[in-house]
Amino acid sequence: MRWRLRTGLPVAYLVVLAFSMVLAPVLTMHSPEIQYRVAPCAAPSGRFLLGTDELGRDVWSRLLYGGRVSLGAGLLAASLSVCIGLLAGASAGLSRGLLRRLVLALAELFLSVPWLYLLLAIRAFLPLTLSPAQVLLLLSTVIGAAGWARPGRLITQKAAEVREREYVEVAENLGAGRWHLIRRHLLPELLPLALTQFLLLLPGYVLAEVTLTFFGLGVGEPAASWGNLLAPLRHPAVVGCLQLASPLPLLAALVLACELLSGHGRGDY
Amino acid sequence: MRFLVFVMRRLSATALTLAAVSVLSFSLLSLAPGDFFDDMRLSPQMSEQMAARLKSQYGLDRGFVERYSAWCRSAWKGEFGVSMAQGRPASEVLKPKLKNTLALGGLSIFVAWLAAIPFGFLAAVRRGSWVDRCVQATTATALAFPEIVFGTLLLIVASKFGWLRSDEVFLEDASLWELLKRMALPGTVLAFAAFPVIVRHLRSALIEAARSPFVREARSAGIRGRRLWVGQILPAAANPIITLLGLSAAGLIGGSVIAESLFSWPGAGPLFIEAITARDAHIVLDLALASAALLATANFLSEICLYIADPRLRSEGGPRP
Repeated sequence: MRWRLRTGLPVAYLVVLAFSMVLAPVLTMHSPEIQYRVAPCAAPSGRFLLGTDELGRDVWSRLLYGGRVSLGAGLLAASLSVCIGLLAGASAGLSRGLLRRLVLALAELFLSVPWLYLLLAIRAFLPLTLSPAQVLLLLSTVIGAAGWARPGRLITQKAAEVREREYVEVAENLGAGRWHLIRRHLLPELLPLALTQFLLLLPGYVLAEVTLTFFGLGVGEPAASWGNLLAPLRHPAVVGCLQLASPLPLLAALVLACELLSGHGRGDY
Repeated sequence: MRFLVFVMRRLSATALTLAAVSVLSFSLLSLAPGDFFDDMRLSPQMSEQMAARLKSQYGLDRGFVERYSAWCRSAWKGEFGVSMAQGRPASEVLKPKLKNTLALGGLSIFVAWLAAIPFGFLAAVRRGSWVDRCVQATTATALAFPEIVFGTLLLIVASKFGWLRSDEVFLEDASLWELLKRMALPGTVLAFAAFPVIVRHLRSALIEAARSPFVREARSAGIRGRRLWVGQILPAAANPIITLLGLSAAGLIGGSVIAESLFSWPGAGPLFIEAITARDAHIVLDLALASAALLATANFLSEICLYIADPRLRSEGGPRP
């Protein structure tokens, strides 16, 4: 029973979230970018499920379409980080010499700058104004590339440990090639670790997208993103528009769900 | 003597890392399309010649190596380049902002630890009881509210109740009480984010230590209560706790960008975002470097503490990372 609640609830939440993002065009009545200027900051009603924002745009539809961007960027970035981590980790773990030291030193370098500063510093050298699709790709690449070091280092360490096991040694002496060693002996050990890392990274990356966009360094208006939705709240005049805070509970639940699923929330001491 | 060698080795490693960070961010920045004066060209008052003249004045028309060595020379002089947006040496721009960030970060880390220690202790001592479960649930919930989420919520609440103040101008000669009041909101965001992490690590470090055989031994010898936990278990758990001290500093430096910008605390965070949008290259570079240096300092200090606290590190084989 306990087990079911602990994993069932988060999985259900993630599935509902994913479905509502995918089905956004079906679930919404208004385009996220049409401004109903007669009704700015309208309260929730039958016409606007969550009311409207300061420019009279439907918050419900901005929430769903914005979730596509924020969650999409998080998913892409987390996959990228884990892929880089697996690639670098597996090959670095396999080689005992220069490559491993190089990968570990590079990871150390990435970890020597605090995460948000690193992200912003990398963002700094990219163009500021781009089309929404370009920005989405670029943001996920930046976030994913900036965050590869943590999973990369962990996977390298694990791979290095597996590499010293006897059966790997035996397989190597029997003439197994690098690719065979990685595929048959390293990957089965590394994949569960990679999955946990993915779940741990995902909420942080969604938050990273939200943060960058919030400060005007991510997806630009009029395209919707959760960061864009929150950004007007910084102006005192808009703060009464509480429906703009609607991404916040979703974000909090996302962090909680991923944490429960990755097993970190388990206080099993 | 061995201590000195250890310190020197750590220091040189840090210097090497910082040098690598500076080279990397400098090359990233010079790959960037456009520079500060390209944005200025958008204004009709700026002629082509004027922009070109300013560019050559700030050395932007020269090659990568030349620009980097120019920056290095000015860093050697203690100026760390030039803020193009403000037309002043970067150090003049950075110093007050970094001071504010350090003050805010220091205060919040102190508050977070002060609040976390009793909870971590209580949960570890009463492991498995309802107290422990309450603490666990609280930290899990608190973890679900990272800086940007909690900060925005607090911003909404604060402006509802009219707590927001933006008297940045008077910060220099404000009284301590005024300063504390001004720091309260951004500091709360930072401390709130650090708190659950510290409680969790503290709890697991203490429980880990409480499981060692010597504690069973001490228990059977009749040592219990405060003498057991403070006298026996706490010193054994010192290592992870000291490491955590360095780690929590790292979290604070990163989170300060969000907290400071949300509540317009005049620290390094808002300056960083400003510098990025203005393409003020040297400021971006210096701030990335400064944050790395802060992180390195925190780690270095915690390693020194570890070295002093743990006799094992001083004996055979020297210090382990």
